[in-house]
Order: sequence, then structure tokens, then C-alpha cells
Amino acid sequence: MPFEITRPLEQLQNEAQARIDALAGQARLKYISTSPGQDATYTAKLKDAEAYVAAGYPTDASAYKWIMTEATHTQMTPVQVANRIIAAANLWITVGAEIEGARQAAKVAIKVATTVADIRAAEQLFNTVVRDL
Amino acid sequence: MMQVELTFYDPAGEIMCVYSGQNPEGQTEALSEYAWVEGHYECGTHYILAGEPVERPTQPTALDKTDLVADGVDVVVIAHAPSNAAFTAQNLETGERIGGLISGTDTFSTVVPGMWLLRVEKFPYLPWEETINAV
Repeated sequence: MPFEITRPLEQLQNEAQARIDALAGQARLKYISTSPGQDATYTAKLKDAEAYVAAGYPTDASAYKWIMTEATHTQMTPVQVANRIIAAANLWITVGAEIEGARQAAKVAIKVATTVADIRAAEQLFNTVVRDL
Repeated sequence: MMQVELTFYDPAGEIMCVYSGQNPEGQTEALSEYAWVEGHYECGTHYILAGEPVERPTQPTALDKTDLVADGVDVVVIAHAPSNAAFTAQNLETGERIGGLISGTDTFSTVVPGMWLLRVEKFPYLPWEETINAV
């Protein structure tokens, strides 16, 4: 008598989609922090950095509170701080979009899957994409 | 009084308990449904065969692989299991479990990914265990 663990396809689809969401979250955590207030902090810093760059990297950066304060505490110049913030944001846009695109593709593939093998193939493709990011 | 150790066992030779003390007569009376031998033997390593303690043998049970595609089609082959042994497969993450009797060769498949602990038990063999990864 073969020993078989089975499930209705719909349940497997739901479980696989939940795993995709969880893994996407783990992948994002390699690039962003989720500590309280951090998201608002990053948003404010980026806005400040973009304004500082748009103003032509003024020597007097005192009007750009986030840039100036971080520069003071890190012994970096305001230019370095602003460029670093923008580079980090750009990296996140690239990686975040890649994760989201792969996540959506995997969830669609799982939703239309008609076999367990199709579900596993979609999951494994997603796993490969996020692992290589 | 002398310290005495007695190992009690059932008719199959499986060790039930070990007595260590100075009143062996009281114990043999209290555990009269069991036979006994002198000495201290653990059930995890020994059993009693024809009145003599012997080591429990290892099982010949074996798998053909330890990685499995969790698609319900790919199977792990469990071979050389003792006749009418108890088989269980347990998901180490969720605790989900399946079980039944196994003899010789059989298969295990799953649609649930994760680490699965396969276990075969048949006295007097030592329990056999192997973990497989279903992805």
C-alpha cells in the first residue's frame, strides 16, 4: 500500500501562494528594514536627498536636515550622504520591482495550475529568482 | 544485603523494566507476569532471546533517495522493511503524519513540501529513521 500525502488542488494552490508571499517578504528584508518608523525615515531621507541634489549640491546643506545630520554623525560629506541615499533607493527600486514581478507571476501561475507539478514548478522558479537577487 | 539487578521482559523478549535493589523476591512476585534475567539490560539496546540477553539487530530497511519532488508523483522507495513493520511519515514542520503497516518494499509520496521523518519499527529490530526533503 503506497503511503501518500494528498491534498485538494485548491488547498495546495492556497498554501503555495502563502509560501510565495512569505518568501517575497524574506527576500525584501535583505534590502529594507521593517523596524518601527524606519519606512517613514527612509522616505524623508530620500525626499531630502533628492531636494539636495536638485538644488545642485549646495555647500551649505543646513536646509537639508536629514542630510546634514547624517553627514555630521558619519563623518561623510553631505554630497556623499545624498548620493548614498539615492543609490540605496535606486537599488531597492530595482530589486523590489524584481521581487514583486516574480511574486505576481508565480501567483498567477499557481492560480491557473491544473497539476501539483505545475504548482511546484512555479514555486521553484520563484525560489530561483529571489535566491539569485 | 546484596544489591541485585533484574531485567524483566515479556513473552516476545521485549524488556519491560529493570529492578535494582535488595528485595528481588518482592519484585519477581509483583511482576509475576514477566520473566526475568539477572543483570541490567536496556530495552533500547537489548532484548531477551531464549532466556539470554542479546543486542537488538539493526534493520535492513533502506531508501533509494532522500530528496523528493513534492508533486504527488515522485516517490521514495522504502525497501527491505521487516514484515508487518509499523511505518510512519511525519512532517517535521507541521507535525502531520501518515502511517500503516509495511512489509518489504513500498513507496512514499507527498504533495506537501518540507522535511519528512520516515520511521519503521518492528521488534526486536532497532527503530529505523531517515529524514527526506520534499521540495
